[in-house]
Amino acid sequence: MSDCNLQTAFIEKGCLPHQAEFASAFFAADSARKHLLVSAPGLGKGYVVAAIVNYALSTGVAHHVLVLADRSDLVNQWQAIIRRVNPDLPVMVIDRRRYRELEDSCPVGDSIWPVVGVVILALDFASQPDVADALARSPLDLLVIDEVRPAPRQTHRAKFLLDVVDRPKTRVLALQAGGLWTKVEIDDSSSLFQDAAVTIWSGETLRDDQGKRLLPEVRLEWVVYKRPAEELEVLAQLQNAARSLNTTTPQMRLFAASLLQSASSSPFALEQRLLRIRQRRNDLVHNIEINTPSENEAAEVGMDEPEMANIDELARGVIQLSSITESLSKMLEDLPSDSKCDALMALLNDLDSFKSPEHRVCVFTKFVDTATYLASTLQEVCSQVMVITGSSSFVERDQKLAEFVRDGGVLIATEAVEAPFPEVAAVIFYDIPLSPTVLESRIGRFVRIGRLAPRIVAFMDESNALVIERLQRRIADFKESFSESEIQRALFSDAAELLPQRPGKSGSQ
Amino acid sequence: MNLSQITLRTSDGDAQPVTALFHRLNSVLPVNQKIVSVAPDMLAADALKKLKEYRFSQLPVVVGREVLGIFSYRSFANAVVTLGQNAPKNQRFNALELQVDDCLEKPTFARVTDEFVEWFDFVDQHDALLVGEPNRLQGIVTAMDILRYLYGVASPFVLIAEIELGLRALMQLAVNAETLAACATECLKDKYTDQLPTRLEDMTFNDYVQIIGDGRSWDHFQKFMGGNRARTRAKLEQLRDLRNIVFHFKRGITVEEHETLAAGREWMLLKARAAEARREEANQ
Repeated sequence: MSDCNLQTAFIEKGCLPHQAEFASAFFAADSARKHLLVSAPGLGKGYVVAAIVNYALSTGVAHHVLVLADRSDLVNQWQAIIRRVNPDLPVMVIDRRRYRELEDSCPVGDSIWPVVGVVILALDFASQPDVADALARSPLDLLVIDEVRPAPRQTHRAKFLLDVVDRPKTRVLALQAGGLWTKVEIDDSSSLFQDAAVTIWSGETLRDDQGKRLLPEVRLEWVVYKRPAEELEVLAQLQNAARSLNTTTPQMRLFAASLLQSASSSPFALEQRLLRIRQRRNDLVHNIEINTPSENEAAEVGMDEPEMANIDELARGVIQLSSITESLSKMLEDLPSDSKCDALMALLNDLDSFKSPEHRVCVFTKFVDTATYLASTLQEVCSQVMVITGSSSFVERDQKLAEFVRDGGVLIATEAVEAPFPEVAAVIFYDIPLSPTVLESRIGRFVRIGRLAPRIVAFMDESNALVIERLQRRIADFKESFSESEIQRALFSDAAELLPQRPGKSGSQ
Repeated sequence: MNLSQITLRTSDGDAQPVTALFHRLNSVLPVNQKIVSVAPDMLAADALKKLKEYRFSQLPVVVGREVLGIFSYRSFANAVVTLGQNAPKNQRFNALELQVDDCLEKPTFARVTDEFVEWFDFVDQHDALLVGEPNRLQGIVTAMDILRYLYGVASPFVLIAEIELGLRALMQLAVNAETLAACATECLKDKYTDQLPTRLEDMTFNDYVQIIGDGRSWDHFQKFMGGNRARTRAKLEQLRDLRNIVFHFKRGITVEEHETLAAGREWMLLKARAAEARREEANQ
């Protein structure tokens, strides 16, 4: 099939022109073996991957397709994306338990992978030596790598990627997230894709036939509210306590930063976190294993993943932290107000959300606790309030999203939720992430081709009480990234004014 | 038809064998288990140090993916006794010169699809069980793994029972039967068209939450639940939702949700202790 015919075929399958152009270039006779697609959120890179996988399997160009998801919670999402294009494609998600069952059902030495089809694995799982070894012994025609990390560390993961990408008979399609506003920079320090054909889709460059931007432009609006004295007192006490902690270990810094973020989010999230700290202290006292902070948790507060959890240090830290919980819990219990929640209610009133549910509004928060609390509060005045969190099953998410599309109202979601959100009138960031890339990717879920731009709103406390909130604002306004040491200096130093200064840098809104 | 060939779509839309829903050895094996092993030519003294370092009682002896046997304190002791007794009289026997392959025990293997209850006696006698085949070791199950797994499965039910019974007891302390019936009539009238429950035993957990979290009855419960109504209500609703997930087997709960249940139970215990203390104070 000629390139032109192929492009038409992809358009007939529902691809947009830029997607069809990329897909036909991927299958062109003189196409490079490796392709790197760098795309701003909202331009449909997931869809084009699914279309390419479907075409490759349906035409026999490929029999064995491997999709490597960046995180384990994304494997089911990839399965859903691929099935959306063709529900009949044989797609299998494999985790450790499934892997063991497959091994058990095959004689030693036989391949456990399906003869034809798509296998989806989380990259960390695929990099484990026994799985990597089994993959190396199996044929692989097409490899999709979701979210190539700019500078992989010297780990099993990095070694596995080098090996699998270099297989000479395997076509490789790697994806990298580009910014919505920020300039796309390809950081390929690992040299994995030096010889790849690179395609960049950005909101600036992609235009329609009339030269109009495909992605609508958005700007962030701040809603200013004022915390009363009793709320400020709780925050001041917490901030001082965080600074007085021995935050020399990465785990403790992570614990303390998460605690400050929960305080910024809502009194309920703080209260619940304090209860969990108390519970962890009890577990430690009774020698019950405790959970250590995860990579995702670390990334969310702008820190590197702690190298290796030192349980003794962690235990000392949790016991130290729990010593501050008593007085703070008491203060929280007596706290009558929640000015940020009041500001949200006023904003939703202004947006007419309570009277006109057809104006769909999505509220994002980092914390499941805040999501539950907001839903509970909003349900008293509005019947159409739904919540989805990272732990909701895919069926639950689909049901709630369908309800949200049909009936409108307010959808409260935690930031962990990866789902196809519908067009909305406004997106409210109840909490702002500590990374401009994360913020952009979350806004990008709503700024899609063919949709009107939603209002993007965030909250700002007039009193500037929490240093972490000042950092969040700088990140959102100026798209600044702060290094881990800068964040820590700001959060845990006694001199609160040590906020990094970046003169001359301005926002691009 | 082979049962393992029947597949179903789970709530996450993934096709998996029906048998995967059952509690078998595969469920008990930790997902991120890293197998520690020793080579057959390692000195037994070094292998003993390894046992001490990892606080294990035994280790598989492995070459490539082939499991040759088990090295343990017991296999070492047996080897010392046997080889020591059989050593030539004119030769000095030195246990520290033994190699791992002088102290091997024959391994027994279970399959991931086996019922773990079938292996209880074996684990009781040997402390651990190899899973897989001699040339494909998939994991090792210890008695602690089984205990942890069963604790993980059972603890949400236990936590929820404590929370629910604790909440019921607090409500009984807060209001008498007459006031409770009045609160129920007021707060639940939109939910029940007939047979409105007025006794705690007849109500659901959601009824408790609706009554306590309702602004019209909050004054009765504030003293016992403490704090702010919106936050108390949110906390109870969070626990109610988790209760529904657990009791209706909607899906497995996450680590964070388990922490929420444990924290909810801790909160309920604090409230119960405060209520007891107040009652004792009043009685004195």
